[in-house]
Amino acid sequence: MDNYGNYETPIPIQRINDYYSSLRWRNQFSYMERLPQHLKEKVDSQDPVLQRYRLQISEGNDTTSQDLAKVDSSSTKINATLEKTFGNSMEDSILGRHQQYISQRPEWHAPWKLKRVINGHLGWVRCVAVDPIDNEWFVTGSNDATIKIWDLAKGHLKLTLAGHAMTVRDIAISERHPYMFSASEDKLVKCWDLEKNTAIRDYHGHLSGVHSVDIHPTLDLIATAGRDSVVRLWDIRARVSVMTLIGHKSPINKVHCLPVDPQIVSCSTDATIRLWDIIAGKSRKVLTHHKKSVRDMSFHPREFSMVSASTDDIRSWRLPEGALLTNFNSEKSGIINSLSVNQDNVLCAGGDNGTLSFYDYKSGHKYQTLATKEIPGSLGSERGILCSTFDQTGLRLITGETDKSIKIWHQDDIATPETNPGLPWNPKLSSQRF
Amino acid sequence: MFTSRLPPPTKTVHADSEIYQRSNERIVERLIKQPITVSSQSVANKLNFQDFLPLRQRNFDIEIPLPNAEEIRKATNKTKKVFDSLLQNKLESNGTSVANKNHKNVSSNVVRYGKSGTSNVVEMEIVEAVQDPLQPSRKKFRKAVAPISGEEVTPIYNSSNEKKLTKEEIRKWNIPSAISAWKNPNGYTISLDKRLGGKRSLAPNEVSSKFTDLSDALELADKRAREELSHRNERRKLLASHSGTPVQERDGKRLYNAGPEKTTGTEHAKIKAEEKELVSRYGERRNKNDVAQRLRKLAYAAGTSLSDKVISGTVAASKTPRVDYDTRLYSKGNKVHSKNSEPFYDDPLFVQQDIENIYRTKDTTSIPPTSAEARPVAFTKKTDIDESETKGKYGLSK
Repeated sequence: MDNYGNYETPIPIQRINDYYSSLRWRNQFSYMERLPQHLKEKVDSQDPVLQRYRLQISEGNDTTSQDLAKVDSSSTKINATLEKTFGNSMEDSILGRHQQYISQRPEWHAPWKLKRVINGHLGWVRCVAVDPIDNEWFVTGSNDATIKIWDLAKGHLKLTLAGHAMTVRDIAISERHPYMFSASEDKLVKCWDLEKNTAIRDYHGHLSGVHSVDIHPTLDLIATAGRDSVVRLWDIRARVSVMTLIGHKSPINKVHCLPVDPQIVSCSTDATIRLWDIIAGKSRKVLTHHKKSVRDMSFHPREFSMVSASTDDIRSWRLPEGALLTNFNSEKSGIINSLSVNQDNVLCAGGDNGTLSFYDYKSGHKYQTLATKEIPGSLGSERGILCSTFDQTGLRLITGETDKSIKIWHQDDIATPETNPGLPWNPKLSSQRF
Repeated sequence: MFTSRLPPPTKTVHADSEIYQRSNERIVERLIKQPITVSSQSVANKLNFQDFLPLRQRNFDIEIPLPNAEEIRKATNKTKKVFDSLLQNKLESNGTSVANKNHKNVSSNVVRYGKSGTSNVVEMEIVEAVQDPLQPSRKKFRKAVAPISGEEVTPIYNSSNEKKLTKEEIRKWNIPSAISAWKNPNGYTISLDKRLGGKRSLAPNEVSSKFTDLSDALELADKRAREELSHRNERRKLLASHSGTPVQERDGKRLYNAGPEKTTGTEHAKIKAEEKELVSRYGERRNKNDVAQRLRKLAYAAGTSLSDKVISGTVAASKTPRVDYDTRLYSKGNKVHSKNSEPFYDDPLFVQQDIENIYRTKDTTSIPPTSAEARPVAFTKKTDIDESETKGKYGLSK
């Protein structure tokens, strides 16, 4: 008992860190320590005999002393050897690119937590949109065929709009008109006057349920798309379908308008995203990277890029041309129903199994996952996030769920990188897919 | 049958048989060779490895600026022009725009017949027929995915190496369509194993143990109630033996004593005497008939006669109902009703009213009949006048 205290000599945290980092390095990259046999032969054949011999000796020494080596030194060493052997072509190798990727640090974000639960709908909450001007209210559309307007600060119901006969699938609020547009599965798109609180126009023409609606930011056009797998452009006042964009092979999940080309972007259950040239009336580019139905896409408010999600697969794209920007570390995340990005580079992905996962937009690092709080009395199968959006400030996240509730989330104010470091930055080579 | 689908005649040598053959060859060529070679080449040309590589992998902080105002303005102007013209066309074709004269002239088309040099040149102006703007569209919308027209082949950038399902695996996932056990107009059959599989865990002819539980519980409750009753009875007997005379006997005596005391006096004696007289006359006392008899007597005394009908009606009205039920049941019900707010409906609605006396026959005895009509009708023989009439009419005789 007396010599118990002697065992408890304090180990410096630095040493523990070193130990674990070396362990991690060995588990992940020890296979990269040596070049493959065929490459080594190639390299060796270029060097003179004496140098070849030295290299071998030095490598042998390294392996003995590398157990407690720091990550940085070892990685730079490998970098150096790789660079030495391949020169400029190193950037094209998988390992080289992964090395580059891993050496960068993702931005830290505060974790998110539940702030408020709002009940009121009698069915799934299928879509949510925030007042674009004053940021004072938000709208939800539901399976009970109603649209409800809520106060954002207090969470009170302000108004219920009834007019649709079936599920309201999408809502778009205009910044330039006092109008709100809603798309429903009853094949109708309705225009609501927010000054009179009545539906003033119907847009007939879709052959099946309408899944998505969006307003063109500069022209008096709305784009709608749905189960009949075409995108229709309507003149707001004339109620005439001005253009029909044909190309998708199965129902379209989401359509979005942009002020410059590509002015229409749509994603579909045929696993493609199409960027449309509406002057020519056909698709400019088809993005075929996803394997399964692309259920949602979202646009970054501060940069010209978008993010799209299919099962286990989130990717972001640079916009005028549609070039792949980031592969998010999203394997095993299941079906993703909704995506939303805010101006602080936080991406929220709402899963069909009720998990919210938060990513750093630029690095693709998943820093938090959390399950939604279940409403008492709801079934176990009613865990699913169907829609989500950030408010105009990007500080609050509103989600609509299958348990008929609306939930508001916010970031933890007192969290710091020290207290809440989030999930570890430990991307696997396989998660990059290429 | 389309004649164009028929093969060309075999015996006659056609001038364009060669063309037929060539076109056939071309079709075959298109079907077999062309698409594959061309598309694969074009796809291969388009495929770019750099498209697989995420740009932000190298540097997270790539700047991607939003489009500036100038770009937006330019794009807006360009698209606005296109869409304005498109909208104009749409509105015109829909007939929503005002039909003006100039527009008509533009669409009209002048055609000339005959040789240009000769005098008999016929000039014709072809004008589009005016359409009813409110006529619904003649196009029939079908729920079909519109075909893609003239689109280039795009390479697929995902590794779709997913395993193809075998037939057995597909069969495993197959969910058979539901067949009702009650209504099956199309006569679908359900295989025997499926029928048995669909049933619940209970084997056929097995009764749930809950039934026996219930009967046991009921039996137990009954037994307890009986025991309690017998116990109570015993206690009551014990109490009665302590006080002396048995309770029931005593009560019965009191009732017996109270009954005749009330109806003492001259009236009672009178009635008794009458009864005695009646008994002596008819030998036996008949409850039903004595009232009628009395009525007849009264009528006789008054100097009138009563019909049998009137008498039987009066008898029925004055008849008292049989008292076969236990009156305690009713008194219990009334008590409950007075205590609780909820009414206790254990007897008919009009029990207070004497239902049998609602449709009472009129008391004809008090009012003497004034006319001959009130008296009973007497049937008489046919008179001779009737006979003469019939004879005169038809000229027939017996």
